[in-house]
Amino acid sequence: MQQLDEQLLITFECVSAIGTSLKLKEMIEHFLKVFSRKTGALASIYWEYDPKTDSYKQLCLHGKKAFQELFMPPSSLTHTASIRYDAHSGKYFLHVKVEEDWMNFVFQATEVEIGLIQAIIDSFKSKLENAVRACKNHLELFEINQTLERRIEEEVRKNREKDQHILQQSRLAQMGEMISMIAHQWRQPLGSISAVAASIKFKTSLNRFDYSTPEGIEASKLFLGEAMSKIESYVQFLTHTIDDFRNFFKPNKQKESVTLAQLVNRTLEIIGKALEINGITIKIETRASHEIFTYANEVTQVILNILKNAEDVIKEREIAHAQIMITIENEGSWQTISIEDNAGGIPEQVLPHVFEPYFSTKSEKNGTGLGLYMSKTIIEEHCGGEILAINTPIGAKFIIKLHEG
Amino acid sequence: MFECISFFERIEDLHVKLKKGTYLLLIAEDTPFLEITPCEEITLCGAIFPRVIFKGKTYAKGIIAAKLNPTSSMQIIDMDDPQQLYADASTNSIFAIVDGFSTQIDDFLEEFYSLLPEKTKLIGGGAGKTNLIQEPVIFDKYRYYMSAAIVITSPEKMGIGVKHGWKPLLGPFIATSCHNNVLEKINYQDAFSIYKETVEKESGLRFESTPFSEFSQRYPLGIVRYNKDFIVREPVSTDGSSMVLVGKLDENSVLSILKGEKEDLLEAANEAAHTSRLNKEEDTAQSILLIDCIARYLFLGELFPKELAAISKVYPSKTLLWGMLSLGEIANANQEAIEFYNKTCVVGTL
Repeated sequence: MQQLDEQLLITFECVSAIGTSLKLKEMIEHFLKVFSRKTGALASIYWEYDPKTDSYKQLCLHGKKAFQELFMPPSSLTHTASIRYDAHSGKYFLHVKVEEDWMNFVFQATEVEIGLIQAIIDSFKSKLENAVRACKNHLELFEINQTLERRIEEEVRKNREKDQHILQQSRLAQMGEMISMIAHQWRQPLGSISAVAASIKFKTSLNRFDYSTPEGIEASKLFLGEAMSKIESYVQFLTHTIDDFRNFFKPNKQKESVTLAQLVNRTLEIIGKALEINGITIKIETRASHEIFTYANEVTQVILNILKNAEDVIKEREIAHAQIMITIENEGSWQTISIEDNAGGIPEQVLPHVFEPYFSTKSEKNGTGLGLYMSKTIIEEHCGGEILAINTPIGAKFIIKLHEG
Repeated sequence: MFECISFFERIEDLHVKLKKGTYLLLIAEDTPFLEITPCEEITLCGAIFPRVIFKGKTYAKGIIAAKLNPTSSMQIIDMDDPQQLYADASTNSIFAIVDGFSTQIDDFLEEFYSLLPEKTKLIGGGAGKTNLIQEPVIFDKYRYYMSAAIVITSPEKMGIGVKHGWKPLLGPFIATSCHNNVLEKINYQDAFSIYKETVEKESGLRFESTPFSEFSQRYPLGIVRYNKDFIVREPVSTDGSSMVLVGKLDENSVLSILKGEKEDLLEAANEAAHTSRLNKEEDTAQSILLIDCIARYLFLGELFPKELAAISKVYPSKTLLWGMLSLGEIANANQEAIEFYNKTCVVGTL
């Protein structure tokens, strides 16, 4: 009875020593100390299993360090719990498995006494295992948090790099588009210059002017004067076009007050000719004429991008009587520009992804997959507005919403 | 460990009598001395204790000078840094004297013990004075030390016996709240109220009319261990709710209130001597080193010489019995973990 009482009391003390810390080493050190003091263990050791190396490493030792060499690391052959007599040292060893780990105790006592001590530890082993698991889970969570922080930093860095890359690609794409649009704008005046030059060359080579008479000389002067004026006017146009493009693609550092109709007109000055050549009719309906305060060049780039996409899809689908309807109107505190084509719309499965980066339905050489992503970024993050894409019965409709004022 | 053990009544005698060598001095607290004049050929360390024991008698004044044999060595180490200990693998015995009022005793002993060679046995006690004030009581030729320990290592073997004789009166209780050596709650109630209720009922005395020490001398606390004797913890004072103990107590320790009968204590001393003699591998005894608690001396009173006699009679008649009455006792015969005892009789067979 006395022995049972003692067993119960010691069990209480040892159980109280479990789970006193969420740090495994701290908790085990305290437990080994209490258990050893209460049961008279000469020394005790805790072996922690390392799954990476499939081996055990010593977590802590309590008692004389001189006993350390008596403790052999556990192996797969060690029984779940066992008492072993070491004839060389004349001492008994108690091995206790705790989850994947092991605790070993060395005693100067009889096997019967150690059997009773083993019964004590068996009575609260599951609690000890739970506490060990809690410590390990805590550590794992702590490490995950640390890893997560590192991963977040890494992802942020990657995102920054990606943004830079996107920006670079976008600039290149814009440059390509710009050159294409300049080509469209210049084709007609260059053709006209060429025609004027050919006409001069033609008339000169055929000696159409009679330089022997004052009338002939006068007619020649008149002809050449007119031709030079035409060439000058075409060159003026070319220069004007270059200025337009340069201003257009120069990012605004400051907001300016502008009406949406002005922004649409600026855009059409750039792309209008190309649309006209491709037989696309532009209809503009202006129901709102208040100025808004925004980054004008950036917004015109977005309008341009949407118009360019409409042009591409109209050409690709060979739409007869192609037209683009641009509507400017008020919607509460917003002003909106709706750009609707009649090219049949965006496939339903594609629609939710059109604003994602690197998403393109165009063939590789034509699309970077960045145009609408950049448009969304400009409108929503830069200008504080919204951009939506929907399908109408006749085609796709992009709505740009910008705050008034 | 020691080749010669002598007793001197006055500090002045030391200059005359001590020959070249290394000495451990155990000085009884009432011995008048301010300093020991260093002598070049003599190395010494010493400590002050409530009383010293020599040839079966105790002295409140006097000095024991124990001359170390050439194979033994002595060092003073800071109790904050037990790693200073040097004990080679051939060390079989250690005699350690610690500052009995240091708050580091338990941590020091645990780390100190962990550094000992496998088969080394340890005996020792706490130095200090009965005024229960921490003073620098450990010294060498050059200075006094606080929170320090004298450690004597020897390759010679010794036997150790530990016994106290206190029996459980009431328990078990749980120390539900304690900080270091202050016991605040027993069974979730004020520690002193539980203690008071029990010992007043048992003794028929009242705390209001009886000094606390009279109760604490007879009714110490015992820490329960499995299949082993209690570790005695002596209460030294109370603030009316908590109690201050000599030595640290872990929270959730299982306690009993103990009771001492003088006959039991005397019998325990005799048993400790028997155990000590049997514990020594060779059946020889150059001297008996006794580290006995001053509280046992106060409790046994005029019967204390019987405790000394109970120990002496286990050994051949001319075997010298010497040592000190200490403030806390230390023993480890390599049968269990190290402990700091109170009110216990520790017998070393040298």
